[in-house]
Amino acid sequence: MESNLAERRNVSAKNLIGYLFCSPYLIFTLVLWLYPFLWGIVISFKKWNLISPRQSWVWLKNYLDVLKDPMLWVMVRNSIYFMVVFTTLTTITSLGLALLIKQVPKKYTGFFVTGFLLSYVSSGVAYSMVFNLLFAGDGLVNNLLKTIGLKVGWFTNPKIAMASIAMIVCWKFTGYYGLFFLAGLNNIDPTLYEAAVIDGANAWQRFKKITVPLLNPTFIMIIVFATITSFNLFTEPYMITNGGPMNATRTMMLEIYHRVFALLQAGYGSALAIVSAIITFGFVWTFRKLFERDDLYDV
Amino acid sequence: MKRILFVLMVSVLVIAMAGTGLMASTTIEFWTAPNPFQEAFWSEVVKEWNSTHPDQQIKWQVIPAGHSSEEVILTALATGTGPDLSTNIFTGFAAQLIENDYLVPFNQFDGFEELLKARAMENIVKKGWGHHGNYYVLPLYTNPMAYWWNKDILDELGVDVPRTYGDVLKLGAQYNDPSKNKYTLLVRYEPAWWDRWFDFCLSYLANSGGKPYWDEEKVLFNDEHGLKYMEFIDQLFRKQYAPIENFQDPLQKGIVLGSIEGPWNINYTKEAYPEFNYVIAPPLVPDDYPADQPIHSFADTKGMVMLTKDKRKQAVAWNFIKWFFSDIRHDVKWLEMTNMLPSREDVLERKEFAEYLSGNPELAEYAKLLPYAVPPALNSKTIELQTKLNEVLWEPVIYGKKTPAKALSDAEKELNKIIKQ
Amino acid sequence: MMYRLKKYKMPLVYLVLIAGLFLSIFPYFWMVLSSFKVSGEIYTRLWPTKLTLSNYAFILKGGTGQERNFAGSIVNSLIISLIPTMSVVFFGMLTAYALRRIKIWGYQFYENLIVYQMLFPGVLFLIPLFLMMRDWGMINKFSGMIMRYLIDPWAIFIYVQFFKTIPESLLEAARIDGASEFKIITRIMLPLSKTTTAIVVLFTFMARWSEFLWPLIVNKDYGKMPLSVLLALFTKGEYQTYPGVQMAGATLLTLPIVILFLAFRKYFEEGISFTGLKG
Repeated sequence: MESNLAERRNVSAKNLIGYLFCSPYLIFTLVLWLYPFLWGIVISFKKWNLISPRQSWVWLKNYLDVLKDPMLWVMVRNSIYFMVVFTTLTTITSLGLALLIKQVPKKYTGFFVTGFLLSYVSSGVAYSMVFNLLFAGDGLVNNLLKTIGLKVGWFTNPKIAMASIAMIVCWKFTGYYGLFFLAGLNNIDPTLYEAAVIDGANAWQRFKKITVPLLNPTFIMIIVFATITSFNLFTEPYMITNGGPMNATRTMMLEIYHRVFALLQAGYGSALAIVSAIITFGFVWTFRKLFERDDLYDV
Repeated sequence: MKRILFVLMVSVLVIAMAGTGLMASTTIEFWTAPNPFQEAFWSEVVKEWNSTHPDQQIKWQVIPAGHSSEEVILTALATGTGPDLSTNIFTGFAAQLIENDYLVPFNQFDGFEELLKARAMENIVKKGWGHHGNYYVLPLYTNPMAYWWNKDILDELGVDVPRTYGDVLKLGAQYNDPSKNKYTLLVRYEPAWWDRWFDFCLSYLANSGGKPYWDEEKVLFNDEHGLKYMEFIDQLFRKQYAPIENFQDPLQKGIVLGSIEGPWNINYTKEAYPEFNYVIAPPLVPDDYPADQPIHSFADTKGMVMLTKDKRKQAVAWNFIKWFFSDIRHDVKWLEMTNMLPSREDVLERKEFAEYLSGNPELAEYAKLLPYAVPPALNSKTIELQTKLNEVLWEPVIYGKKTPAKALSDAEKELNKIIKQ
Repeated sequence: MMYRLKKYKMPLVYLVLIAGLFLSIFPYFWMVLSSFKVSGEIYTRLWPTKLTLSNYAFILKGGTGQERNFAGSIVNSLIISLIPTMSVVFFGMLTAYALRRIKIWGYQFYENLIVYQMLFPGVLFLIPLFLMMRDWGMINKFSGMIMRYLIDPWAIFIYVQFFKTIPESLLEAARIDGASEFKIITRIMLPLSKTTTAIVVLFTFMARWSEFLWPLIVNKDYGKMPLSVLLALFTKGEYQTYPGVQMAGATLLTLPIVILFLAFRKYFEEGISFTGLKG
């Protein structure tokens, strides 16, 4: 009886301490997460020019305007374009990188991994400026291409501007995802390959049947990252293209910024933000349904 | 211990004294255009004012703008952190600010009329900058825009400076070679809304003899003047006479033969490309434009506005404005440091300016265009209109998605929608 | 035949890796090199004919008239990066400990909440948070730039994952010795979670140091601008035609974070496999 009481007191004392430890997080969640989240929804039902005191309820009008604006579909198209190019490029470069590093003796892997990770730490503002100059009409890359009679408007041709941005984001992330692929490769049980060799599988079959399926989680990571990034891309297009040419690099974030902070349409901007979040969730959910293989997870 | 106490007491005293010093003086926030030459100019002028007016201090900074200073000023106002006094305001933006009750009319202050006369800007202000009988903006500079042509290459080709669209197309046929980075004319395709001032708006004014391209009620540009220019643009891009890649300073580097430039580029070019020879010419016109008629151009003109509602700050701001605008020395210094023409009616007459202009033949060419330079058409939705213009007219024609005629009528429709909202 | 292929395999692997490494590092190399070039040579040639410090002098002087304190902006960047980094680590540990080790009432609910918070896109919060900063008078203040980043659900999540692996017996022993819960965190959990903390520090610091949109919106005061924003305004707004100066600024922005990364690289490679999730 007595020990039970002590136990209970002990539990409530621990709860007290625990909640004390947790309280900053709980306050933070209420004030800087839940409240702005709800307020964002409220604003999206209003027409409000940020600088005037007038606010009026327009309910679903902002949402209808967002859905009616052809720009929404332009932005969705841009995002899909980015996802496709980025996912393909990054999967190739980082998987290739991991496969190559796997061949190298252990004492050298650190050197290569560190070297390839350097690009990952660069800031958006800095590398956007660098690539903007490198890919200019008479920049280094075009000067090299000129020797073989080519010229590419990397950021000025509406057909490829978004692909160029995907390419420089890929430059940043190759080493990072390479590391994940490498960790994935190291986790694959070597006996699987031995068994496959005995069964007479050639190198390509082993890659397709063993390596690729077991790297599925990293692939999902890249695709989910690409989806979220494609809608939230801001610094690169802000610094390089400002959404052009022909709105080819206009992203949701850029448009929300423009609507709210240049045209002061807070209500429209909030509605667009919510629509953008819903579309992002939709894409992520679909991709996971399509590509994720639950049987490989044990988390 | 004693030492620490002493230091503490001294610092308290110093802070207290600094505090009372601040109490007596009034400080106003002053923002100016993000431009290296203007920055250098204001740095000196504000320093001079602050050293001679200890009780009326100015805290000055360049508008912290990435793409557009209007956007930054609006956000700052929305958060109550805007300036008390600002330059770099064009008519349309001023109208937008007036509609939201942010600006203070200058004509309510003592000495307004005298100031207009003292700076010789009475006509300029009263004709171009009024708003329902009030005057909220004092224009600082008026830059006519003009074409620059690469003199050395034109001479080499034995060609006169092009006057009409046909001349340019002929020149292109003779000279253009994209594979060698040899283009004929630079046409800016950036999606920045203000860039359309310097191509579409400018050319409409040139073709139409200075008629506005829209007013506060509706769009006016969907006619032969607009069409002729857009057809020219269409031709340039279909024939690849205009580059579609981004180059830095393509004119100065000899990548294009001609481009539209403002006088602010004179100093920069002198500094960065001392060898570069160029001719300054009025805007291009259609082939059937009468040769004996003057050619109009666009005037990039910005002014100063007062945004503070605090009476004490208003008094300081007004004192500064009077001090700044009434002294011709400031305009001379402005001219020398920024190479932009002050908004005065006597720029071509006063010997103070004549002296500088005679030593700067390039700028003198610009000054000659002043009588035919037209400021932006007034509309408080200018930013939104030109953003849309870019989207439905400019880019579709440049990238060959629409015919010029279709693009113009689409643009008319879409822009009218915005105006009527 | 097979034998000869094998002989060439390793050299080929090294060749491709080194070529890749070259491509990967080249933009950095070009950036640093260009920052020492005179403007005319940046577009036209790879190897400069002469080196100059004038780009750095120009940027550290801060332009043509106004004082743009680039040195000061580095300090600003440090302030808005280090405070959230320390706070994120501290509260991350504290919260994760309460959830996972003390198992407070309803801890499973909170752990799920944290995962949801991580998944919610930031775009939803941009406008309302901006308006809150405005109403609280935090525009043009460090507090406005820092506030929303003081606690990061991702860090709590990472610590929860790690604390799962620590045996309860270790904590019991400490409790019997009379150690308070807080002491257990600082004396036992902190030293044990070195790798996790290193990862949290590195990622948080990197994200805050490179942050662009938020400080661009909530601060217009040059005196408080972080380097990323000052640099972007400097190059996009006013000094578009100074490529050498731009590259000098980009180098200044990149350098500290590269140094930090090199110092932490051991933890980075160790920790990345289990902490995964950060985009």
